[in-house]
Amino acid sequence: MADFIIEYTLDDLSVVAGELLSFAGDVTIWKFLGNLGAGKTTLIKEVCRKFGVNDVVQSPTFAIVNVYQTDAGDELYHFDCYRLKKAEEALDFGIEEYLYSDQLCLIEWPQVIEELLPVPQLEINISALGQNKRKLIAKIVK
Amino acid sequence: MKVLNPILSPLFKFIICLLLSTFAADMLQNQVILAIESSCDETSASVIINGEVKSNIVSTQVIHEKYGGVVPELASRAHQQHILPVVETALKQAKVTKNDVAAVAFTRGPGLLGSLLVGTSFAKSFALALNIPLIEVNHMQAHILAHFIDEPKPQFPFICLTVSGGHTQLVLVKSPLKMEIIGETKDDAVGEAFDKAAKMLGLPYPGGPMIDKYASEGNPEAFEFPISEMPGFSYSFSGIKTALLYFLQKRVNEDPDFIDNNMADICASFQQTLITMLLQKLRKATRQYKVKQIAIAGGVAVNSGLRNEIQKLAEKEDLEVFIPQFQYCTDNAAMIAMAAHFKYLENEFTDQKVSAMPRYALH
Repeated sequence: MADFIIEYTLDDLSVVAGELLSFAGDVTIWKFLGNLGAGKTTLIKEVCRKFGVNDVVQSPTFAIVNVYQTDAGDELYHFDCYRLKKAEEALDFGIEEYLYSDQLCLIEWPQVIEELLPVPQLEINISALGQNKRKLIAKIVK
Repeated sequence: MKVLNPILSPLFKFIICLLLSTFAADMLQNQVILAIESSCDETSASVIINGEVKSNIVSTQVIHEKYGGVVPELASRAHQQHILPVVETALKQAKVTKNDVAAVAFTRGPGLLGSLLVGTSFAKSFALALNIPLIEVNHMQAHILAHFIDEPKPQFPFICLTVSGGHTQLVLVKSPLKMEIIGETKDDAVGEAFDKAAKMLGLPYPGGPMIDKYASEGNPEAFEFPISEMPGFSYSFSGIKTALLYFLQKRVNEDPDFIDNNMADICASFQQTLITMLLQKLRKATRQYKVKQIAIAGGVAVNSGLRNEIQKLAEKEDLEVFIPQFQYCTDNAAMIAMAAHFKYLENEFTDQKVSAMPRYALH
């Protein structure tokens, strides 16, 4: 499958999230790559909204994982592995329970837990093209 | 002996009665509560007797003494290793034994699931083994109730700004157990903004204390960062993080040594912007809710810049401000014990069916 590539600003977030949803199909592991301030959490907020999450979507940097409820009664997991130093720490809090739950897992800073992530995955790379403009490249990893 | 006996025996009886009655009164009066906190990185235990904190032990203190080793920072396994020595030390320092404990309290949430589970399971087992009541505590409520550990204590109602690595909340506190969140962050917590800014500046984690230290030597008006305009009492700290990133990129492009040469001024200006955002909403809230007392709580409440600015705000607006001791701002079990004391008085107990709640909302 060809990569999905898009350039966007804050105003286009809703469209981008919608496109990502259809591109992902039934892939539940979504990895978000990009530097500090690239807009990973901001995009995830929009993705959550598309999935019918009405909770406040806050950055999970402190909590490592936030659990949200969708309108349909499903759970959705939002991870931030920024504070993790090694994959073992993720195993200590039982990350496999979430990863193999068949619920959607949106993962920021996934590098440190790469070895634990099941495939297929949706890998999303966000890079900045200026203060307000972003480029996103998404691909399915099998 | 025969002569002494009639004299001794009433005296003896009297002494026994006296001893017994003091003992009985002790049993009735001494409400000893053991509290456990394990919501994030620290394992902590505290003993409170009749509302007075007798001990407050945080794992880093004990573990370094006992094991001398490096402790894994985030692993819930660390909590499992810490919990017994921490509880033992807390009981010992309060000069009580486990059989004196009338109730056991624990942090139910919010926090990391794995970490919360350790405290929750420990407290449940402790309650079951000793057949004593169990009290569940909301970590965010406890941060606010830390103000009732020492004098002076605020009067109800007051507004508390709770600021930490994971939270930024403006709370209207109506009574010890009745609180209403009137505003909170819509994205990053303010402590996170401090930590991530520190990372961009090449400072070590946690970055808050380092930024505070540099800021005290810098000019807060050297650089300007945008204030995020949010409706009502909501906060947003994601935008300023991005603004700092682009500011640094641009300046470093022009001068590779920009950060090193301007560290104090960058920290002072950035910190000042965060504090301005925090206090603007706090001031607005005191006016709207016509409250004369304000408080700060949570780990970021140790920030000296914030402490100074909130004092200034209080003088200007004729408000009374309350700031807990440092040890009661960062995560600690004394605040859980304090919250548990209030719940004990209200007979708010839970049972063995209770489970940890990583996203436990304050209400």
